[in-house]
Amino acid sequence: MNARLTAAELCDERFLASLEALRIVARRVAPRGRFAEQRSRQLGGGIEFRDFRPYASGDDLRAVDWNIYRRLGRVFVRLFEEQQDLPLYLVPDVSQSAWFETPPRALAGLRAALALAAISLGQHDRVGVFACAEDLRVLQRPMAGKGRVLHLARLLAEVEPGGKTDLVRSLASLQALGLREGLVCVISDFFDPAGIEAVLGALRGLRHRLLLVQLVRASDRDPRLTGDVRVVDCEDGASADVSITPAVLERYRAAYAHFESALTEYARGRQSGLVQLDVERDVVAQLAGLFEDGTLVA
Amino acid sequence: MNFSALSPLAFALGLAGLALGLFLAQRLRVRHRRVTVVTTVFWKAAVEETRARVFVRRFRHPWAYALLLAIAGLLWLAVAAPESSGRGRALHVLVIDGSARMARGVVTSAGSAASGSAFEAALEAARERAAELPRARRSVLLAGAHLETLLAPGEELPLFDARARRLKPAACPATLEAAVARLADGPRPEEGLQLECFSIAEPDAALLAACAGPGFEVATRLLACDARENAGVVALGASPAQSGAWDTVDVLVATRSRAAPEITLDGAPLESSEARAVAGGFELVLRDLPARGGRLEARLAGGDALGLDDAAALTLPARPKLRVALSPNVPPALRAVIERDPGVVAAEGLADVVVRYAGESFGANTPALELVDEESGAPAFALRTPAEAADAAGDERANVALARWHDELGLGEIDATALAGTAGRPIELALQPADERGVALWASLCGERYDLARSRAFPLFIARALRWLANVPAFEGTLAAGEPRLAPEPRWTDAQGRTLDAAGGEARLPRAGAYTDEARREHAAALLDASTTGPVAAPPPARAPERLARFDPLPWIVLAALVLLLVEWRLVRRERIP
Repeated sequence: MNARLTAAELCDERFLASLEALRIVARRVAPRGRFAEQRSRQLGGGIEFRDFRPYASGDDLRAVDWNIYRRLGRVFVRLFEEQQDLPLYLVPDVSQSAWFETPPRALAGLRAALALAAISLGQHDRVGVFACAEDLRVLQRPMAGKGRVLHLARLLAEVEPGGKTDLVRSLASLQALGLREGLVCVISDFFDPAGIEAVLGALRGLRHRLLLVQLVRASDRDPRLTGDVRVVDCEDGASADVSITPAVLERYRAAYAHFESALTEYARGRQSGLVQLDVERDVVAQLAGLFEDGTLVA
Repeated sequence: MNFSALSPLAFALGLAGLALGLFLAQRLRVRHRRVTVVTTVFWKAAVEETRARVFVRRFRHPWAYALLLAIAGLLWLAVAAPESSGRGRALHVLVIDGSARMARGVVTSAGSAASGSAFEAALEAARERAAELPRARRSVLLAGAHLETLLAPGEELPLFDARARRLKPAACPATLEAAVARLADGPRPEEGLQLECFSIAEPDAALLAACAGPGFEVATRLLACDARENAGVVALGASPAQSGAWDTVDVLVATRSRAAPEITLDGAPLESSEARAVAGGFELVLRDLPARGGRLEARLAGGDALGLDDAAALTLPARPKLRVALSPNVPPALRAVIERDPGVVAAEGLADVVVRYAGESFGANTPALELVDEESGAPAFALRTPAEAADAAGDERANVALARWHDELGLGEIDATALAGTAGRPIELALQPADERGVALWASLCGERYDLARSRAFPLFIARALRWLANVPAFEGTLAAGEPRLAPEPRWTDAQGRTLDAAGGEARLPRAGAYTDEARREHAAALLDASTTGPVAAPPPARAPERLARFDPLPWIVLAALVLLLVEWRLVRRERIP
C-alpha cells in the first residue's frame, strides 16, 4: 500500500497546463454567492443584460432605460444577471481500499480532484475538499483563488489513508454541514459494504448537484482469479471462499454489471455527471472526455 | 455376476471406504489460496447463489465428487474382478500329465510328426481350455514328480505362462492316477469338481470308476503322440552276491529293446555272461561286481520315441567287511558264529564292533556286543542307543523303535517261549540309554543250557546285531523313480537340495537322478518304469470339451473408467470442475 503521495505526483506544470482549456459551467448557481463567473438566478447589478420590467418606486434611477422612455413614453428599468460562483465540493475516497493495489486508486482519485479543483479555482469558484472514508473529514473549507492550486496539491498529498469505506455515513455528514448549494464531486470506487443501493440512497439526500467520478480498474469487471481462493476484503478482513468456475465468474460479472447499471441509471435520472476513470490510464485525458467542447455543464 | 478376487462383502466395504475417503479428500481438497481484494461484495453475491445447491458448506462440487466416485468405483470393480456366472458353477481342475511319458513327440491329427513334445502340447491345450473357463472357477495342476499348482483359482493366465515357461516332463512314472485319487479324496467345493486330464494315456478306468461320484467328474483330453516302438531300461538292481561273498553284488539289468544295452561300471564297459532275450527285450545278470559304491550304467542306443528311459544308473552299495574284535573270554559257540560270517574280519586293533563280557574294559568306547550274567537280573536281550531312543525311552516312540529293531535284528526268529521255559522266567527285550550303541544278552544263551546257540536264528541274530552295532546302512538294491526307498532313514536330499519327504515312514524318490545321503555319498535313481517305456495306444478322436458361455466384463469396466477419466480431464481443462 502506497500510504503517502507527493505533491509532485499530483500536480506539475504540464498537468496544470492541460487543464487550462477546461471549464465548469453551472446551469444556474444558488443565490447569495460571491461574485464570480457563473450565472445566478438573481437579477441585479451584474454585467449581462437579462430583461426589462416597469419601473417601481424605489428602483435605482440609474437602471431606467431612457431610450425606451423616449420611444414609448413609459418608464422601464433594465435588469442585469448577477454572476456568482459555483462552489465545488470535492469528496475523494481515501479509504484503505483506495490505497490498495498498484497504482493505487487514491492517486487517480486525488489527481482528478485536483484537476477539478484547478479548473474551478481558475473560474474564481470556491473549492472545498472533504475526504471520505469511515466518515467525512474536512480537509479544506470552501475557498477561492487561482493561486491556491498548489496549496491544495500539498493538502491532498498529505492525506492520510482512512479506514473502511462508509460512503453512506460520509455523505450524510456532508449534507449535515449545511453548505451552500454547489457541485458535489464524489470520487470513489463506490464499493461500499452496505451495497450500491445504500450509497445511492445517501446520494439522493444531498441537495447539491452531483458529479460522480467512478474509479475503475479492468480487473473489477473481469477478475483474473482461478482455482479455489479465499478472497479477503482489504479493509475489514471479511472473506469468502470461492471456487472459481465459469459459472461463478458469470455470476460475479452479473453482480458487477448490476452495480454499474444502478450507478449509471441513478446518474442519468438525476442528470448528474458520471465518469468512469480507469486508474491505470491518464487522468486528465479521461476527464477531458467529460467536458464537451471544453465545458462541463453542471 | 460374482467377484473372483474379492468377496461381495469386501467389495461393498471397499466401495464404501472409497466413497468416504473421496468425500474426505474432496473436503480436504479445498485448499483456498488467500487473495486480498478491494471488495468481496461481488464474490459474496456470486457464491451466495450456489450455496443452496451443495450438501455441506465446503463441499462445493457434488458432480465432481460423483465423477470421481464413479471412476474409483469402476477401478475398484476391476480389482474385484467380476465375472459373469455363465452356466455351471463347478470348479474346473485341469491336470497336466508331467511324467516322463509326456516327453514323447507330438503328432498331428493326420499322424505326421509335429514339432514339440506331448507335454508342450498338453500345456498349450490346457492353456486354451483355461482361457475358456471363468477365472474364479478354474485351476491348473501339474502331475509330475510332485503335484504342483500352475494356476490357482482367480489367477490370471499370464501367471500360467510364466510358470510353465521352463517346465519339462519329469523323469518319473505317471502320477496322473495318484493326482486324481488325491483330488477325489480331498475337499470338494459345494458346486462340484470337474477334472480334465491332459495326457497321452487314459487314467486307469478302475480308479476313475472308484473316484467318480456326485460332484466329481473326470474327463481326459488325450493327445496324439509318437507311438513308435520304444526301447528303454525297465529294471536295474543289485542283490547280495549269490556266491556268498560279502563285498560283492550281483546286478540284474532288464530292457525292453531289440538290442542289448551297453553296461559300464565307473565308465569301464562290462560284459555279462548271463544275457538272455525275453519277450520284447533282454535280461542281463552281472555276477560278483565289487560292492564299493561304483556307478553302474546301462545305456541303449537313442533315437526312439522316448529318450528319458534310454539310460539308467545305479550306485552299487559299499559293503566293506566289518572289523570285529573278540574278547578272549567269548564263548566258543559265539566265536565260531562270528568267525564264519563272511562279512566279518577279526580285528586286533581298530575295530568297528567288539564282543566282550559286561564289565570288561576290552574295546572301550566302541559299540559292543556284551554278554551279561543271567543271575544279575538284567533282561535277556537289551538294546542300547545313545540318541533319540534314549531320550524317548518309555514313550510311544521308544516302543516303535524297539519294535522296528526287534525285526531288524531278527529277534522274531528266536523261540522266546522255549527260552522262557528253560529260564523259568520271562524273556525280556529292553531299550537302555547309553553313550554308544550296544547289544547285551545273557552269556548263558550262548552256552549248552539253552538251545539258542544251536538254532538257525542264532547266527542270523549275531550277524544282524553286529551290523546294527556298526550302523551299516540297509542294502538298497534298486532305486526307481516314484518308488519308496527300502529304508527311509537316513534322509536323502535331491539334486536341488530338497530333503525327501519321509512322511508316513517312507521316502519316495520323486524322479530319476542323483540323490545325496547324510554322509555326502551320491546315489543314482533311474526311471525303470515299464509302462512308461511300453507302447502307447492311439488316442480316440478328441471330443471337444463343453465351452462355457462367458462374458468378461473386465475390459469394458477399465474402458469405462478411462472414458470417465477423459471426461474429468476435459471438464477440468474447461474449468467446469476444479
